[in-house]
Amino acid sequence: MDLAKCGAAAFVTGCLGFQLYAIIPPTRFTHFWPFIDYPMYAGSYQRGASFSEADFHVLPCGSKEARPASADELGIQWYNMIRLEDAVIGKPTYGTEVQATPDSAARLYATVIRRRIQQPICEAQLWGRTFVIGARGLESANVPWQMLRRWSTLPGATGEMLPTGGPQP
Amino acid sequence: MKRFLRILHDYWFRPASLRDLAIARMVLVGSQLFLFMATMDIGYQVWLAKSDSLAFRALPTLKVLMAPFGWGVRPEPMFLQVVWYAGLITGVTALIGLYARPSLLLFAAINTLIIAHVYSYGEGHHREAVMIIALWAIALAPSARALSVDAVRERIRFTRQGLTFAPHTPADDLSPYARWPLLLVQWMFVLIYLSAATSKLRFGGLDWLNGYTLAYYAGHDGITRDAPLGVWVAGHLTIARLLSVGALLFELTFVLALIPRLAWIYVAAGFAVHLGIWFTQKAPFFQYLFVYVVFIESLRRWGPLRSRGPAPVWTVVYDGLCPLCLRTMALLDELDGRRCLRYLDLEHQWDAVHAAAPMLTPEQARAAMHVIGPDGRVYRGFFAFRVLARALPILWTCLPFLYLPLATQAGPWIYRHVAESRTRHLCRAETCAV
Repeated sequence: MDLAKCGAAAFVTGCLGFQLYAIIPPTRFTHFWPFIDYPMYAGSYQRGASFSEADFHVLPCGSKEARPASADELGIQWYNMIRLEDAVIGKPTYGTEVQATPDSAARLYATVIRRRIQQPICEAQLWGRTFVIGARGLESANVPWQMLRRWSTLPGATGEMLPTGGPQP
Repeated sequence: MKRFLRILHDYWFRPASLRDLAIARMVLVGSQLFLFMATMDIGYQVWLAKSDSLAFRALPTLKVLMAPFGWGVRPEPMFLQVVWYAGLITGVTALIGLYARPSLLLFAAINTLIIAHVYSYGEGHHREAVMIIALWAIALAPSARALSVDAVRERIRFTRQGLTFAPHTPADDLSPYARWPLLLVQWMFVLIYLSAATSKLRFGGLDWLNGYTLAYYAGHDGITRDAPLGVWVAGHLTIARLLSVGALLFELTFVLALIPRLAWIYVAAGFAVHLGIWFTQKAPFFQYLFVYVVFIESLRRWGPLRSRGPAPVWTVVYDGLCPLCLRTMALLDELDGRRCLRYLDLEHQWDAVHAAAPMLTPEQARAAMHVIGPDGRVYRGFFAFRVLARALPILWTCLPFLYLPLATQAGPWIYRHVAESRTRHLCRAETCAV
């Protein structure tokens, strides 16, 4: 076998070997990218399972109307936005070793808002709605939004949650 | 043991078509170049490089690629900008096969670096992994020995040196190094789908098939990513059950795609699965659709679009004493992917020319190139070029210009001008050496 074939054989063996290593448990996700395992959407759910959708809003000082604030506007990656939203409502966050508390996540939000949004913002709000998988599948796609959490974003705010309630945004 | 090694050797290094490999190169590089420009936004790269360094955890792949600048070093915004533009340039040169080997290696390295950089900030996706491995595989293989600028230049150089033109033989199209890159990526697909299937069985068990699971995922992604079809699937449990069974069967049995006769079924199913995932969950696995090109040999031989017989043959009558004509024939032969052109040198094969086109005289044939169609019709000069552009798919992009309103006046005039100013090496026909 010539040198070129030896090189090709080594490359093939290396790629297939790394890929096999990546997919044999325990899961390593993207650490050895591009050799990764594929456990996405692998968990199972039963009748009665539910999932939530969250939407982050900010309330400008002096205004009664909250407006949506995107990850881009806040200058953070979208997946970190989802992690922060999960942390604010006390849900375990996926893909991180350190789990933030709701108060610390709320304080972090407040800091980011003060840094990134020029307009004075007095309050942050996390709105959400929950969908249920019933006997015949998804029960309804038209679930009303509810305010899940609201907290002050003013300098010195502790991240403590304020009482919720109010209209659908 | 020796027999086993022989079987392995034959499996990976049995001669295969260089054209298939070249088509794979063009599809992989072309699609990744498009996705590179569309999704690997340089602004996002720079924004990441300027963001909080606490979020940065260099993946091993990035550490290896950045090793010349220091182990684990974080790429600077300026460096990323230079690399990104180098990715664009090498993508184009790799696509057309100009300085193909270094272009392909650099393009593969730059794509790996750029994506590994993004994933070093905590983000992670599955869609690019197989494409990156495929890019490295074709970069290391002779994927530009056909259908590339390099191949054309090399062919013209040989023609110019030898002052002779010899058409490709079937053996010229084969190489023992053309099969392994495509097979490797086919096996990567098998392992990837097997990983997805075993993960479902390991984490979800047979409950993964209960319909509620897919209703959950389709509903979640359909609502949060605004995919109405996903919401619809989530509301129809029986359909969700059927789709679950179909998806798991597809993933578990993908190894059967390695059987050439079955490959097209799995490629078609793969298109359905990934497009279905896009429409129901907005998860973009478009790279997979392009990387399926690695099944090209099986699709060409056994797929529903396989050619049912030999392609119609067009005969090109050229002047074998004219260097420009020889170079043109070399170019046409390189571009003739379907091998539908036959070449006759009017100075040395006049009997065959006369048999194919009895009305054609040597004087007429010397004055301009002639093409004899499969139906015996003879085309001359500019019109000969125009039918060749129709016969060779790679030249189809030229067709709109060749059929412009004034093309039938301007084309023959330009052709006549070029033909009259070409030289002929009469010494090769007469005995100058004596």
